[in-house]
Amino acid sequence: MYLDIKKYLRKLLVNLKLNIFAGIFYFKNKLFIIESSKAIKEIMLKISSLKIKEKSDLPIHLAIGHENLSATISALKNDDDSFSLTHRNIHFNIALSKKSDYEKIINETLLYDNSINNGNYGCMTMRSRKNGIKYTSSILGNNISVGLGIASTNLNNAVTWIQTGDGAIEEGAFYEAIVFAKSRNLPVIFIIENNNWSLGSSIKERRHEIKIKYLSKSLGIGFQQIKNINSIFEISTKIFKARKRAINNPQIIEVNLKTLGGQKSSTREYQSYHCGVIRED
Amino acid sequence: MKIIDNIASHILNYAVSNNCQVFGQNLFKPSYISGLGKFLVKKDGITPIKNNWFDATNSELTSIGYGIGRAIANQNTLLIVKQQDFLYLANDQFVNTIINCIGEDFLKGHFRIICLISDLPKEGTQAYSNNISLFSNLAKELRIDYCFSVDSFKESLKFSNPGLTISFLSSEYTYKSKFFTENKFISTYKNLFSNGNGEYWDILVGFIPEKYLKNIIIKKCSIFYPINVGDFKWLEELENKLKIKAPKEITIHESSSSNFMFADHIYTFLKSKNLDIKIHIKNYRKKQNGSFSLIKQRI
Repeated sequence: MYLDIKKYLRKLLVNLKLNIFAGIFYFKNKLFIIESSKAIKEIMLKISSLKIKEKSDLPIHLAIGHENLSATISALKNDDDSFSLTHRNIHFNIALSKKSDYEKIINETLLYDNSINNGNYGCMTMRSRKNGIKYTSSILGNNISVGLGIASTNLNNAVTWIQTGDGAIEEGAFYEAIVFAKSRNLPVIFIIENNNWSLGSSIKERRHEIKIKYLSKSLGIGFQQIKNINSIFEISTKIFKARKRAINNPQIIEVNLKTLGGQKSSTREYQSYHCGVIRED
Repeated sequence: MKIIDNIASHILNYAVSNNCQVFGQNLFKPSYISGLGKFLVKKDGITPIKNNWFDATNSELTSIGYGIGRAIANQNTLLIVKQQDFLYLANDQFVNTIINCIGEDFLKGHFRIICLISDLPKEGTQAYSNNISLFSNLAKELRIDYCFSVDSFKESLKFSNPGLTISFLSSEYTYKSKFFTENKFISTYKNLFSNGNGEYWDILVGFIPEKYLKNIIIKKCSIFYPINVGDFKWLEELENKLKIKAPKEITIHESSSSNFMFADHIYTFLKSKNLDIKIHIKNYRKKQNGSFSLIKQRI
């Protein structure tokens, strides 16, 4: 009994300390995150304008509405942290890069030579490797296990951020990976960007609800849910705590957000943002 | 030394000398994936020699992605797999991830998979789906070695350049010490092939025994045997023969429970050459008693 109380109090104290540090992180970085988010959005809008101007039919996937998330992670990450990202990676590529590289990122989306990957990869698989983006993939769920391998080589309390979405978590690859990550206790954070859409179908249209909270709990994996993407406080404190805990135990962060932009269908709520901005002609 | 001990000792040497992280499903538990991992454990028989060697979860796709991820991060990894059909679950990683890693010197470490092929007749349907040629198209982007003897396996292990290598080990030809008799096979049948004549030809691929050949295949048949996956010169040779002798019909006989499945390769090649020849394909399955049964016939 005494030991239980002692254990409980210790846990309480650890959580209190973590909350204080998370609060400090928020106050210190709030302005940076806001400014960074603005810059990320500006770059994406610029890409959108260029795509229209150049009448490009390249598959550009913007992430307007996701900026606060990538800006916060960029503020929080350690130098040794690494990233394994999906096709909608542009907000991370911008957030993790210096301003001097923005032009090269824009160029990569349009496959120009003077770009971060010399126009070899394009928007869906671009990767700013010098900023820790070690892998990107346009295939649903494909990047998850690769991220685990990268995480297994981490040093200096580094973590690997594995981005995925509400569509990819339906794949067996996701389940395999979270079991594997926990079994190996890998320093990873799975970021589930839940925008409700997988191509043209909403969650309700295609599947039963997946309660990640309970799935995580069943495996002993840490879980955070960010319900309000516009709240820098909620994002930064929850991600801060997950980042600290991920060093010793895999974490999952589910982020509820809306991906904005593109054209809206006249008959349904579905937006064609997944194909980038549609040409006006 | 038993063959399996010989192979297992080569695996241990390879893993240690290349500083690999080693893993596999039930690798460190008797029977050590058909004995392949028997020297990777300490004296207690279950503790891996190195701390970061481990028994993997039952997750083939994740295991392959994991190894590639480590190669991206400049670390060497060795995965040992019980049989080839397990690997089919990881096709997304073999195809998409490897393609995603082309260029920019992307894979810095070496990821090797050692995989048994259950090609013994007793394996039944499993043997039918364990054909090394099913992976042959991947050889464009990754290295695939087909090992029919301890020596060829040892040779395969010498390669440790960055990237992904699969060393397939034939159960039938490696474990039973029936070493790959390529030269003998060629010397036996090449003359028959050269003498191909008449309007109807039979092309034979796979390890179909001579007894079967004499009884079932038409005596005047023209024999063709694919020497190895990477060398397609024989296709040109075949094309030339066909142009000169101009048969009307060809039947490709293939033993699908042997290691090679090349009928479709030959078919596609000949079709691409616009030769005016009708092509039939017959697939046979090797049964437990060593005989063959016709399971599929196509035109």
